[in-house]
Amino acid sequence: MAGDQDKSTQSVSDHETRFLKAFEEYNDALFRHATLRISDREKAIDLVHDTFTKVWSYIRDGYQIDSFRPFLYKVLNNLIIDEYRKRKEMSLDALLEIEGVDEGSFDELSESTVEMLAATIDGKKAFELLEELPDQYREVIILRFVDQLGPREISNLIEESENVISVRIHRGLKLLRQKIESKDEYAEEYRKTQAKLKTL
Amino acid sequence: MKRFSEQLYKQSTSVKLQEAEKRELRERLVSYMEYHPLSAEMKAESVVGREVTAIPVSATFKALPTAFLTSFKSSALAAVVMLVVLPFVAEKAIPGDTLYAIKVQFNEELRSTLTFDTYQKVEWEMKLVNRRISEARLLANEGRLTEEVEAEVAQAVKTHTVNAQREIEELRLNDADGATIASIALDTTLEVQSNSLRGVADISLNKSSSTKSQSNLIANVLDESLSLSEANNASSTLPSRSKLMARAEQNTTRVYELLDSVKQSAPAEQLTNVTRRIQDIERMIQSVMELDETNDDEAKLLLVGVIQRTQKLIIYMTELEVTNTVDIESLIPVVLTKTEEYTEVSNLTVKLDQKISLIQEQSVQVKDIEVSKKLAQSLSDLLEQSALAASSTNDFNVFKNIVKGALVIADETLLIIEQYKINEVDVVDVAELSTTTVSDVTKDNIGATSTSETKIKVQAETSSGSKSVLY
Repeated sequence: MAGDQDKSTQSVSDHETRFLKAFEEYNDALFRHATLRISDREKAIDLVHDTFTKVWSYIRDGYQIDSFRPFLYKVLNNLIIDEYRKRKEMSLDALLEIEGVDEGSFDELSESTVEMLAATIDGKKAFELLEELPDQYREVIILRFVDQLGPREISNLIEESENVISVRIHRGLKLLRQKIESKDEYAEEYRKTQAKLKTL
Repeated sequence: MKRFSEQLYKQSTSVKLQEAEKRELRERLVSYMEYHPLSAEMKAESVVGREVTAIPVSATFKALPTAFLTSFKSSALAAVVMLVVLPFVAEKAIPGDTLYAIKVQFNEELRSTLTFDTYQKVEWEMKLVNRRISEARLLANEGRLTEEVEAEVAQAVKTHTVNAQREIEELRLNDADGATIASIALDTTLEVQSNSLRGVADISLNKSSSTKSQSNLIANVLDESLSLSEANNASSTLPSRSKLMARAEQNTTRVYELLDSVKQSAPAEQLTNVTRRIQDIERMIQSVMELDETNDDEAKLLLVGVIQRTQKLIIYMTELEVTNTVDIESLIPVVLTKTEEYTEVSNLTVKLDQKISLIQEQSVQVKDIEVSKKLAQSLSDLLEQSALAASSTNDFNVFKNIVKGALVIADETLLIIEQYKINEVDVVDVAELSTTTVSDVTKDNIGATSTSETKIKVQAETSSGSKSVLY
């Protein structure tokens, strides 16, 4: 009997301890993801909070969550999409229409070309420019390089095929490079004009 | 790439919650949890060791979490019902039942597909023959056996025997010995079932004609297959001694298993009968062991006998209807031991001697010359047979035949005397009739069946009052 009591006391906290442990483990990563996606620190904290309360509700409904990470990302991602819809800064449908990324060329599908492309980009500069990317690309690049999820995990999360993910990452990186280059050009131009002005 | 992602990641780590923010977030969450606590049931639940993976559910499923879970549960339940419960229940179905199709076309087909060994396939087909026949019996007992179903059952039996024979032929290509052993088993099964069905036909002769025709229809199919199978095997030689021995061992083991399983429930008389047969079989095996290589053929024949006996015993013990319709003695006659044979010999000798002395005693009273003459003839025949029997005690079967024949003659002779006493008017006719019968009997040494026929004949010939005189 005493043993039973111990066991039940132990198991009372089973769900709770696992849940709180998941909070400690993933709050930073989720917050970072949310912040980079929506560029709003306060809102990002709210989204993380909502993510965890939603997950808690699932647990209360009797769902068994074996692996928290993909589940948390999934919920957060849905909340971010909702947030976009609320803002209506840019309709998601319109966003999806802009670039049809269903099919990619062979180049874009290969992980090695992604690597080659990435090798030509300055990570620091790219990070600064993430905000400027359309969310479609920002999403996958954050998931891939900030949250460090694998292509399959990303594919499960945003419900697109792995090919589509590869193409998006590839195109996102290309966009980033273009932006960096144009910025560099602009900076060069700016320096030259400044220099000219000085000489005058 | 490495540099890029490292740089990007390093840069991104600068984005993080401050300690205060983190603390506040945690407090908000914990208070949320306090306001939305788990049910007592869940609190008591242990999550440790659970292996259920939470699939990242799509938005659609999230909107309908209960429906998804319920539908999953109910479809799983449906699958269990379809794959486990139905086939299980269907095992008991008989032709005409809704589930019969599942039994025949799913359960049995599946089982047959899963059997790879050809010998086992033959065994399975034999089992199916037995099944079809028991189903037919069950239907007949319930009065549900229409002509249509009868024909179907007969057809099914035919299909299964043909299948079994085809498997045997296939087996013969690679393993001639195995094929021969398999066909011994098959023939025995067919024989037993056919006998049993005809047994039912005899019993139900007066009850209903439909049962009879059913039994005969199926029995005919069985006999047909049996003769076909025997024709197929006519050319084959006996398998090697070791293979026969192996099969005999397997069958014996099965018999022992069956005996163990029915020990509690079977009537004592049946158990005694079965145990006796097992002892016979053990003795036969023992004598096979004692035979050396020079007597290989004899050993092989004995072993074939053992296999047939065990096979019959297995069917006798597994098929309830066979148990009820066939007399075990006619199915598997007892093999007497030497001691028993000796006792039997002396019993028979004493019996015969008694009858002879009775005839000698009574024939003195017969006044009619014709009858006396016949009696004297019979008596001398009897004494001759008796002497012959006495000289052949070494071979029990020969002895038994002689004595049985002699006993028949003795009985007939005694009958003549009785008839003479009661009905002196017709004495001459009876004497004539009896004498011819006696001489027939003497010639053929025939058994008990002809005795009864003769009895009836005699009875018919003599006047009506003679009924009470028989014995």
